[in-house]
Amino acid sequence: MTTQLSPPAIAETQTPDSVSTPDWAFRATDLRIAYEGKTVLQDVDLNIARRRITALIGPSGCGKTTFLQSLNRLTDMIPRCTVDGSLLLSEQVFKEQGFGDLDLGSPELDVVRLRRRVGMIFQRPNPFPLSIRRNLELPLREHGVKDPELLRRRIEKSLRDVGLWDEVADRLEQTATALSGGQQQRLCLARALVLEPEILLMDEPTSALDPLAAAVVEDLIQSLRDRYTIVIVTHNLAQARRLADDVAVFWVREGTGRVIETGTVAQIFDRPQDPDTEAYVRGLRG
Amino acid sequence: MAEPRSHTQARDFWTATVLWLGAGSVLALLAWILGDLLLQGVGRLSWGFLTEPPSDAGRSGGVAPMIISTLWILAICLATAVPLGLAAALFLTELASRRTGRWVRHSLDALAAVPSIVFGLFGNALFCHVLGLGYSILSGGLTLACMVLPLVVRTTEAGLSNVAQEIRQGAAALALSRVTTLRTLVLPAAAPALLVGLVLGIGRALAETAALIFTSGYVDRFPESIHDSGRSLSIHIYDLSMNVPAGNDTAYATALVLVVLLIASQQLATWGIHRWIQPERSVR
Amino acid sequence: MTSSKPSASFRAAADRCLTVVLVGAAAIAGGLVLWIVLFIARESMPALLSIAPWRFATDASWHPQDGLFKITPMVAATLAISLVAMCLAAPLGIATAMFSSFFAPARIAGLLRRWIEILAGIPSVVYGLWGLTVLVPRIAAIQAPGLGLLAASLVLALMILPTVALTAEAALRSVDEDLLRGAAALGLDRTGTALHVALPAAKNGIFAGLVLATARALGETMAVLMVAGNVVQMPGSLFDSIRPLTANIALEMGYATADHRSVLFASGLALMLMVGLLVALSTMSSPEATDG
Ligand SMILES: Nc1ncnc2c1ncn2[C@@H]1O[C@H](COP(=O)(O)OP(=O)(O)OP(=O)(O)O)[C@@H](O)[C@H]1O
Ligand SMILES: [Mg+2]
Repeated sequence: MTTQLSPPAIAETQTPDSVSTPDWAFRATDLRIAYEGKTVLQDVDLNIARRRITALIGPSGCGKTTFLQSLNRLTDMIPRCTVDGSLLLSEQVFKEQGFGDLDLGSPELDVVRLRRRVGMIFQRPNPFPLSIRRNLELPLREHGVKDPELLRRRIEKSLRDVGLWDEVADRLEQTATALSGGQQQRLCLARALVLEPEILLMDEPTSALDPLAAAVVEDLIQSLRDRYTIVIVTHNLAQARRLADDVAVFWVREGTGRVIETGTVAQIFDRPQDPDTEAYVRGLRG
Repeated sequence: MAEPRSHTQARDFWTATVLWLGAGSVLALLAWILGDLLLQGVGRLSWGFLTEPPSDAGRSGGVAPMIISTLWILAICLATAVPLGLAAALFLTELASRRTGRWVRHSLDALAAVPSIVFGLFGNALFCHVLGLGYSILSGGLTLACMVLPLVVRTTEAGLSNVAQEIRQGAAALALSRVTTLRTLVLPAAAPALLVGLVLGIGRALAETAALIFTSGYVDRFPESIHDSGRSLSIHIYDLSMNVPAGNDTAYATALVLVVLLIASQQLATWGIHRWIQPERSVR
Repeated sequence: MTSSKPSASFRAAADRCLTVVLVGAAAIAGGLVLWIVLFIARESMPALLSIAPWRFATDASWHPQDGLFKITPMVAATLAISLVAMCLAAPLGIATAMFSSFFAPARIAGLLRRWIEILAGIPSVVYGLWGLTVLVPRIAAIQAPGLGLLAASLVLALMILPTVALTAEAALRSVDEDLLRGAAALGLDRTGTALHVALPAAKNGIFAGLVLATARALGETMAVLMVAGNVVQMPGSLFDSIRPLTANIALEMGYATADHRSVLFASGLALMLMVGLLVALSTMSSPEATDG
């Protein structure tokens, strides 16, 4: 994967005993992402705050998914996708401190360490075609949890966290793909939570669900507020308004996607500065 | 108004008639071949035919040693081609860059087009002489493995690439290792395609003759080890019809056994392909 | 930036190990065809170095034990058999494909495809046996000995018919539906649609299939070996006994030594070259080639 090295200067200025603890989880500076040489996203300067919910909104094809996937380096899976500029993950996010901020552009980056702290939920629920228990057990075992009692406890806890425990406690051995769409999505959330991440990335997590199931999942996301840093892509402006603390508006200008405006939910929805933002949040454009 | 209509109707009628005749004659030919096979082969067929060794140069007795040899050759062929083919298919779907992948695929397509007699030459030179394996079941099986490899790789690859991208993304987002992803998620999902590839490989290997004459040889005794020469069913048919006067009845009976095996494996593969590999194949 | 977990280095090692295995397997599978070519070339080197190339055409006869290597009659035989077989199989195969794509009820079309797939699965040695016992006596009744160009071409035509029919059907099937609807909207009848719209649109795919079938025909061994008569002579009429290249290899490999053996490998190399050219041609003309 051709991920350009960003200058490590910023990473090194952050010392562990830095007094002014940065209150950000991700910091993108002059980020540019291209598929097969064609730039789809550029000039992205964006701070994503810790322990807050940031919504990414904007019309289709403006690079929201692309940006989200660069946050946990899922862009590695796409052949000929290049990311340059600087993208940092704050060291505050890690349990063990003293390594400095993580440079997400570095080719030597330990993606295992990254993805253990950054979970992801996709638009289409994607439970593995295994039993419900195995879906949760697999990532745990993979990351070194072997003790059966501990496994059992953590599986139960994460299922309780997503409100699925009562529904599936007596059929943990059944295949996960037999669950309803909403249940599947909650299982995927549980699967991400079971690794005890600090950050959750969500790509339109409710758009493939019926309204009732979507409401359940949305409530669930509300319940995770303050405990997790959440970055959520959504096309549902009402949902963004209900959930988000901060909002970043993506827009295609001169053929490539950009971030045209960022701010708190009140700023974006009530006092938008950019005319395109204004038209978009009013439902006039995009 | 009625005139041109009846004109086109007449033209369609005649085209249809000609094509019905053409297709019908194809069916008739096939029926003729299969009918002959059945009529001339079934007379010699009996339980003893399958369980006894041949006698009188094959005119009487059975084909038991050939069945054993065929199975051994097949076993060696599959034991080599399936792991190798699976690994190569995994490379193509999981690791290869687009360019490398294209080269490997082109190369496999070329391999699939190599005439079987050339495989025979290659196997004879490499396995029998250079590696010193002589005319043996081992040489024959390895030669066939080279031959069925493209089939196994391409079928398995089709199955592997059908494994949903969402599953792979989910696994990557959880930082599952490549080994775990493959073992617990990708391979189980691709297993049916692998089986279909296996069955197709069996079909191709069972039918092969030219590549075996100069690699596995034609000794018609029970092989004692894989280093012995062994005569496959297909070579037995060839030998009986060409070198043994009045051997045709046994040749037909052997051919019947072989064709039944082949059609069975082929139908199994076809069913499997429609069931698992391209279930949404569109029919116009 | 090493992880604190000891299992991390283990899993990295396992992943690396797997990568090595996969790359190795792919290298073997991908390199095999090249290896075969090089190997056959190596084995044919002695002959190509010690025998002047024109002698394959100018020697008095094919008597390899006496150092006479006239190979042209066998090349001619291979070409003649393939040509006649293609002339028979191409129209019949394309007609079958047209029938099942445009004229047959869906169930009959499906049935036909199944039967043709069975036809494709019958081993060549069985075709040879059938040709030898059924076709040859009937041809011999017209003109003895019956073994020869006609018998070999007929058997071969049957064997490549499935390739032609199945590839042509696939090509016709992939013709853009809109095109056919357009033709129907213009009031074309089925014959017109099939002949003047679908057939031209599918001609690349059909051609690719024909080329592939020719490659099969050139390389076929057992069936022609059993019914061609195997006399080394230039094909003069449909009833002449002839010996194609492949049959020659199969007949003589068992006892050939030295230059003789090497010439057989060289003929194998020539065969591979012809087939390789045809396959390349077929890949270039098939519709998938354009979208690289
Ligand atoms: N794998 C890929 N290869 C090439 N181009 C891609 C790829 N994935 C996305 N793109 C292009 O990148 C641009 C941004 O796509 P992206 O999926 O990030 O948009 P999005 O904002 O998530 O849209 P949506 O709201 O529809 O999900 C689009 O123009 C898209 O066509
Ligand atoms: Mg998206």
